[in-house]
Amino acid sequence: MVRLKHRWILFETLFENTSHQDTSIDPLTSHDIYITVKESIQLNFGDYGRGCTSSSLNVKYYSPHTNIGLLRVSRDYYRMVWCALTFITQINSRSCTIRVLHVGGTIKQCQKLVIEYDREQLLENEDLNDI
Amino acid sequence: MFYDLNLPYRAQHDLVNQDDLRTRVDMLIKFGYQVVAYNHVVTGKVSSNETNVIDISDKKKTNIEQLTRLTYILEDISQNHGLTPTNNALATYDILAVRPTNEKTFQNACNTLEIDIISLEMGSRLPFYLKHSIVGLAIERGIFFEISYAPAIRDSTSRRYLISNAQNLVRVSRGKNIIITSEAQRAMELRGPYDIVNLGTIMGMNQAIAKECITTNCRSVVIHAATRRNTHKAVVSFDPITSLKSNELWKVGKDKKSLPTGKSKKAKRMRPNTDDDDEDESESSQLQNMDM
Repeated sequence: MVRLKHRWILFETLFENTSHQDTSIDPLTSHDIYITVKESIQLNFGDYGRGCTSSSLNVKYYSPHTNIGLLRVSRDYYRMVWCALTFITQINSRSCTIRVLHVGGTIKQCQKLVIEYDREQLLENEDLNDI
Repeated sequence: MFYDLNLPYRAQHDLVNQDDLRTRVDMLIKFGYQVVAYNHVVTGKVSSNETNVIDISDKKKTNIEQLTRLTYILEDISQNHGLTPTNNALATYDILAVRPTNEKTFQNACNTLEIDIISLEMGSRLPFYLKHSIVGLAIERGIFFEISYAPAIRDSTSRRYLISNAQNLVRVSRGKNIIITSEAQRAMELRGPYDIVNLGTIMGMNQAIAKECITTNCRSVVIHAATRRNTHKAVVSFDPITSLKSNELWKVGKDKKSLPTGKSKKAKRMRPNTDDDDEDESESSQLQNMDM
């Protein structure tokens, strides 16, 4: 079968000063993430890396409120893109870290995990507020 | 259990902009690490009156286990006479590490020094070649080699050297006895454990071995360090029962109610391998005889 298989990478962006989201700064879009990831691949893996991933790389979803995003890569090069994500130090000149939460074969698995993760975060916040 | 055995305690030079220790530890807790070791780096002669500069008394309340570590930067073999088991001052640190800067000190560290970790400066070209024979000797003695990933995140040239040196080390040591640590000066240089496992795969390890590098190998380092400090010829050590944590009470057995509190001592073996049940019973009965 010559079917092109993908991997869906679920990631979270952590910013340096998360406490106050400045309203004058534009919220990040999935396009900003896409540009940053492409730059990181170019920087770390060169033209070869860009070539391998250009046809299949796609940031499907990113929410600036929960800082969670979903990225699609071809299955053969997902480790390369994962490393490129790890080496990212800033997005749009805001210092940040990317942490990969899950790598899955289908969107559905990732979606289940996002729901779980959000639930945990809400429970944590509730606990903190109660205390 | 994820370990990060290298969190610099104090900035090396004034130029280094280091984050507050608390911020970095909070980041580690958020990423899911369970054990961290604060690293104090010292250059020069190994003396016999080092006191533990790392103060963890006020940070006890966090839900991460905190250890202390000392790293000596070795420049000359003549400075190393202090690194022996008899040096009591060094026993105040949990883990002992060494950073050799030339071939002679590297050979000395692998052959004779009583240490737990050999840390190599991965961000720039290594001043000596890594040879199978010498590295193999260190592995046999139970010494671990450390790869730090934060230099790769800071700087592009360090990244190149790190990947090159790390691949070299993995090839020479055949993937054994390697640990991956952070050496992060700032909280933004830390990465989650599975991201580190992925970095390990580009250094030439497979996923299982890379995961071991931040879990079981680090645990082996901690146990090796405890064996080195507490035991005589790695056989027997005595600890009072009161020093056991609540999740270790199973070691004392079902009759812990009958034991008088505080006074009696229980032999606790510090061996990295699993105990033989037969040997355990006979040894403990021998010791009870001795008490009487």
